[in-house]
Amino acid sequence: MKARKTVRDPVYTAAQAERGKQVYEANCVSCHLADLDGSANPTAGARGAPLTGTRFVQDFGESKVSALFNKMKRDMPSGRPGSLSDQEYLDVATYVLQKNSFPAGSAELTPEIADTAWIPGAGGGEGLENYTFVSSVGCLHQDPTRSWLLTNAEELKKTEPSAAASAAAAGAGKQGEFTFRLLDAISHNPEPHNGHKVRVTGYMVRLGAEIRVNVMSLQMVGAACGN
Amino acid sequence: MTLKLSRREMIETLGGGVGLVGLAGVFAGLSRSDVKAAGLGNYAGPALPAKAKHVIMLYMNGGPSQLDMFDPKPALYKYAGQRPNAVDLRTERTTGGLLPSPFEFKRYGRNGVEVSELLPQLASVIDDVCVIRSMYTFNPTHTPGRALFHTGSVLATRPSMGSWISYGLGSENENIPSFIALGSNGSGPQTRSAFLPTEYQGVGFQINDPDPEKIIPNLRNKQVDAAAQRADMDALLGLNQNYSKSFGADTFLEGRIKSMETAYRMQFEALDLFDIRKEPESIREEYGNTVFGTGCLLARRLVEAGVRYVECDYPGGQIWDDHRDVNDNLRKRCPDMDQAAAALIRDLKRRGKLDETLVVWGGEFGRTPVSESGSGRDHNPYGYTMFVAGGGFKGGIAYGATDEFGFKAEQNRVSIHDLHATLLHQLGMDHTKLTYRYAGRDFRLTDVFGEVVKDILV
Repeated sequence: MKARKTVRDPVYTAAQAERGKQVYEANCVSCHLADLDGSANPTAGARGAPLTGTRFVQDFGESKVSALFNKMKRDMPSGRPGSLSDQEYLDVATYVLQKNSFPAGSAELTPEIADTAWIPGAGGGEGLENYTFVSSVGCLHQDPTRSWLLTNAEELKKTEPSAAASAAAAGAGKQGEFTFRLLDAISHNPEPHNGHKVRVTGYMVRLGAEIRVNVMSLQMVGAACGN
Repeated sequence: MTLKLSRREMIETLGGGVGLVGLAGVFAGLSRSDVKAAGLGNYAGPALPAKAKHVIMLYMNGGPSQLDMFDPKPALYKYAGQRPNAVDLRTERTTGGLLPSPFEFKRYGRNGVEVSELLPQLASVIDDVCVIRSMYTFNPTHTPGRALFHTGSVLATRPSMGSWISYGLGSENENIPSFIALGSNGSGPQTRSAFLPTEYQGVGFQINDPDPEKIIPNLRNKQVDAAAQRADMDALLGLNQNYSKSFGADTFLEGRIKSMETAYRMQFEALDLFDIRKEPESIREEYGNTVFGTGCLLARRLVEAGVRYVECDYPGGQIWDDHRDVNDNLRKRCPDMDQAAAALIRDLKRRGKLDETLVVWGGEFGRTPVSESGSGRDHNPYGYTMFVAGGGFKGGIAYGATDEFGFKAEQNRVSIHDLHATLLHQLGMDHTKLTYRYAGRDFRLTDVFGEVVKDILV
């Protein structure tokens, strides 16, 4: 089966994202904020939906880029939808992709590419049932909204709960490309390990296209994340 | 024109049946402070030190899910899909195994109260919010549950809390009803005065359009000017007085007359008061351009104008009744509720009104930790969450606790009657002394129940 095209294959250029940033700052920033975290930023009182992180994956994961483009064109900017040009909407979409760490390449995003390129879901849990006990190794990271994330994480593996905390299970592991939001990390004293490479076990939780992990154990396996 | 009336004279006038109406004709010419002084309460018990003067009830019809908003239960993941013995409580419908919440909880405020990612704005004001995680009530079905929530009884014949409080404390502004329900049709337990005098019935307004002419249709009499209306009213009042002399005092007639007087006087104040478009754009943005945002902002304006009790219903009827697709539904529904409720608390505090206003949030019950239809939650009267902000309630605390799965209130249990008793206490009334004699006995909002929950008060 031929792999589908995703935004991990570069679909825009850095110059295009820069143009998109200008449009964003003129039309979008008042509601969605400079860091694109919008209403997820509890101190700013912003109204716009977050356009980065897990919320972006929830809203646009497992969709084509055209879904993002069409949503913006239909509803945005708030109060004057459809008032930008198609090119400006496309450019803003590339800025949003850039802020979500999808790479820039050598060709600009066009409506045709937007209609074929997919924004991936959180991934890493394909084939696993909801609430499967899993483990992963990645970089423990707290985002600006104080959510705990496992970034650059390897794919989730089914694990036996009894093996979770054993020394044998706590191998160094390798890192990968996935990001998982960690639920109830606060019960496992995460602060001292912020920025460290950790092994996490817990129950996999699906929320729309996003996959999260409810933490049952959290162990440091390396001081540096190795990136 | 000046009018000098002693409190005694005023009470005598009231006691004389419909005699009050003779005063009403001159109320439109009184200053605000005179009118304020005219607000007479009926509470006859010992005067407790009142912290609050007003209540804003944010009612989430249908029973919102405490497990996804205020009461995190990590144990649900471990037993997802299973039904341990500890959760063997009877549910209203057929339910299956435990359904964990997929939402992230973080700690907020000086005491680290856990609030879900669905409510970032309420989380930001949590230091002014008393979260009660150990609420319980006595019926798992909406209609009796709603009646319990609002009237303290499952029966369809008891007055609502708003009516009791208006009856007890009287009016602060004779130009508008003392009990207003926004987003309500003004019937049912939310607004019912039942056997209390009719003037304490909650008056319902639909607020889907913020234009005050649409909120209060036909308020302006376009055919007859104020003086002519007054003459009409006085003629009618004369007839009613004759009736009263012949047949004796009639509280229902008196209530009806007072309501007509209020309606007459509303012409002069209400259109302005109900017009949220007079608020600065920044304030309207803060509440959100939504029906619930309109309701919360209007509630603040009404309370500032002296309305005693405002119920503001989240729009859409019994919409928090998430028997299926609870996750998707909450993600769609919470943002505007969160924004408006938090803006209300923030705004009241900025204006120095939060201390004297009780902002109460909740539904008739909560929801089960066990799943219904695989993706929903059933009704749960055994344990659920409500919150109160302001009015002398401690902020930044989570009081009480449910069991490890969030099914049943276990620690520091607070019944709906306990909450009613505590709200009345903060309004300066002993809930056992706020009574009304009807059908041969004294009735109370709390019936024979209710304990003031002192631990959650400043």
